[in-house]
Amino acid sequence: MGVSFDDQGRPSEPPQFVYRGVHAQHPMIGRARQGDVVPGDENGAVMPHVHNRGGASAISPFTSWTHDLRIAQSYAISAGEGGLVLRFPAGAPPAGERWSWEWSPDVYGEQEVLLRGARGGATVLMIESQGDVAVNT
Amino acid sequence: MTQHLDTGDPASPVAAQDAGSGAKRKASLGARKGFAFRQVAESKRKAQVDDVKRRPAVATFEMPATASDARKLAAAFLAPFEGVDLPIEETRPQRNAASEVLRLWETRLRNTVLTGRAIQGAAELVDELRKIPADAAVEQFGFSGSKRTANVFFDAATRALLGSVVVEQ
Repeated sequence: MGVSFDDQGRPSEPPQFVYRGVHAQHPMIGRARQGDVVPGDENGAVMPHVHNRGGASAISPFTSWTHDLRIAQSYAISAGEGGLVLRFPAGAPPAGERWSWEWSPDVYGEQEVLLRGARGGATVLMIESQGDVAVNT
Repeated sequence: MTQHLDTGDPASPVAAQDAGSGAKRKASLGARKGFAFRQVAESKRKAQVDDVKRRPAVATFEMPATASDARKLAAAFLAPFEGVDLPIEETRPQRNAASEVLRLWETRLRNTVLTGRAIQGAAELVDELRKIPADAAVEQFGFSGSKRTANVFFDAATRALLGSVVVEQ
């Protein structure tokens, strides 16, 4: 896991990584296998609270990420075998990058953060039996 | 060999054999009791059905003719939930395939075990989504308020209300 939790379920230290579960039927699963992240519509006008509520991914400039690897795994297996988890280190973008992390209202308590824009170079974690993950080297 | 189980029903073969002498009177009394039992069971079943019909997540209302009507219905449906405001920027519903909506809400429902945050109506919505074709279009109206966030879902073809989910913020 990239983060540990206190007895209230809150992260007990600053998270090192953010994760994204990509299910096997996702339209961008092919790009995800290459470590690329592509939102539904990079120029979309969807607001963070609308994206977080669900159902707007296809027209959204955001992709959903979480500090909780278990949540990412859950999304990765949501369409059966063939899903994966993407991982980035936490942190602000270097100068000149076109992507950014944005706050999510996270009304479902999934420790969600939003990534605005496209970004490459994610570490790909493959789903193994029982939903465990392994780094794809 | 056929084995008869005594179900407690006086009409069952085992109960009839056990009746012995005076069987007719007892059988008659038993039959009346059995009828009463069946009446109570039927009454209970009807009450359960009525209860399910009253549950807002699976209730069926008069079909809204347009998306605008559907939104008004969704807003009226959510009116009892204090703290669900109606942001004016969202007048059109999100439209997605039922299979995608089902996958998302099955996952969010499963994740409640991890998050500890209840999603009211999610289980009923998932049940309803499983009953319609995977490629059916589902319209979703979202509402965000100061205390709660809600989504209301309709079958786009029939305008039938599929359910709603509400979370406390």
